[in-house]
Amino acid sequence: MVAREERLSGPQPMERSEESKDLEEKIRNALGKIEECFARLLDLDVDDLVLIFVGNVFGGPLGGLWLRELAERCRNSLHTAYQAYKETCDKHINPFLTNIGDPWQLDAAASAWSAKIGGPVSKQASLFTPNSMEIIDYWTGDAKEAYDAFLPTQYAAIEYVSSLANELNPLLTQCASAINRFWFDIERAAATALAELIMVLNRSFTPDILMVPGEAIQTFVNSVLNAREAVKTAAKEYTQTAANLEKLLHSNVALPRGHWPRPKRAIYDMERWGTGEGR
Amino acid sequence: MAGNEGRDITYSIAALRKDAKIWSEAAEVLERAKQAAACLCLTVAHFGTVADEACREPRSVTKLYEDVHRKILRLLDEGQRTLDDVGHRLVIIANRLDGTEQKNLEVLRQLGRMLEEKGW
Repeated sequence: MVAREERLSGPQPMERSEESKDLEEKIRNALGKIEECFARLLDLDVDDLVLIFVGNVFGGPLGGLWLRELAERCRNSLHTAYQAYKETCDKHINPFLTNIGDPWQLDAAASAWSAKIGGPVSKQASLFTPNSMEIIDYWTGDAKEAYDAFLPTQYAAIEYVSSLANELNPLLTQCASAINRFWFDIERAAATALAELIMVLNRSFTPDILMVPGEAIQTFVNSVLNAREAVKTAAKEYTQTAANLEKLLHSNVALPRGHWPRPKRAIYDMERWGTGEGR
Repeated sequence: MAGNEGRDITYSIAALRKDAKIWSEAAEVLERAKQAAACLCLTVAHFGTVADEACREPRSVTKLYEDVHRKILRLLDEGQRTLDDVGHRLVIIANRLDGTEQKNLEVLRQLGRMLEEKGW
């Protein structure tokens, strides 16, 4: 049986969808551009910043210690924003970027489990009842009795395997939805942060926007933390579905010793088939 | 055959064949379902690390899925073989009862003789 299971588990995993690849590329690009923006902003040293203040605010070389302090504060603010950004990415985004998931294929698989497996298999169950089988009316004897007793075991086994297949549908759909929402939130947070940083750069570093990166990154951090929290909340939903599936997986009521029920030998013995009164 | 001597068993044999068809067709449905299920291998690349980490109790969602997938494939395989076997054996019984098997054997014997005559 182990050999058969190994042989049966041979098929290759489903292909990753183009949508999933695009999503990953989009997120990596946005994060990469945020890095570039920071690189340009952090490239400014205190003297550059002083020049910005001098050039834009005071209109001449005023100098002074307070001006350097102000520039220093701006530079520190940029560093703090960058650190917060890096920490958030390292802790809450990068570990998940290796396998961002594929909600599109999860949804496709969910539909297939119901449409191609659970549904068609379940329809067969109703055939394995005395009403559907003609032998019941025309035959007698040990074999017929064994046949009669065998039908409910097949009905139960068919129902069991189709319910396993059907239970996979909500589990996969819930996972797909949680993953989708998470990355959608991350993508939106990154796009917003990037837009604000680009705005900072496009205004050529005027003093009034030098504090903006701190605010933009704080919004980004909050959005990412919320997205992580949302996944944990969604996980509670599908943990329940998974628990139901786990129970079903280990309840072998329909399966003697965990295997598909086999018929008694009497069914295969021609000598044991007898004709009754007929109908 | 228990107590069938002298009875007209035409309808009874037809019933065997009709039921055999139900078993065989159901076996085909299970076979198609098995083939479809075999294409639904999903890994952590599909569930994503974020979903896999969020649902770790008692097992990760990927591991649970793999176990269920493997079990369904095995059951569909066992089920298909069982249903097909019953259908096939009912046909054999029907063939023996109405003499179809005898006729088939006679055809095979004649074929064998012909081939022998032609030097095969």
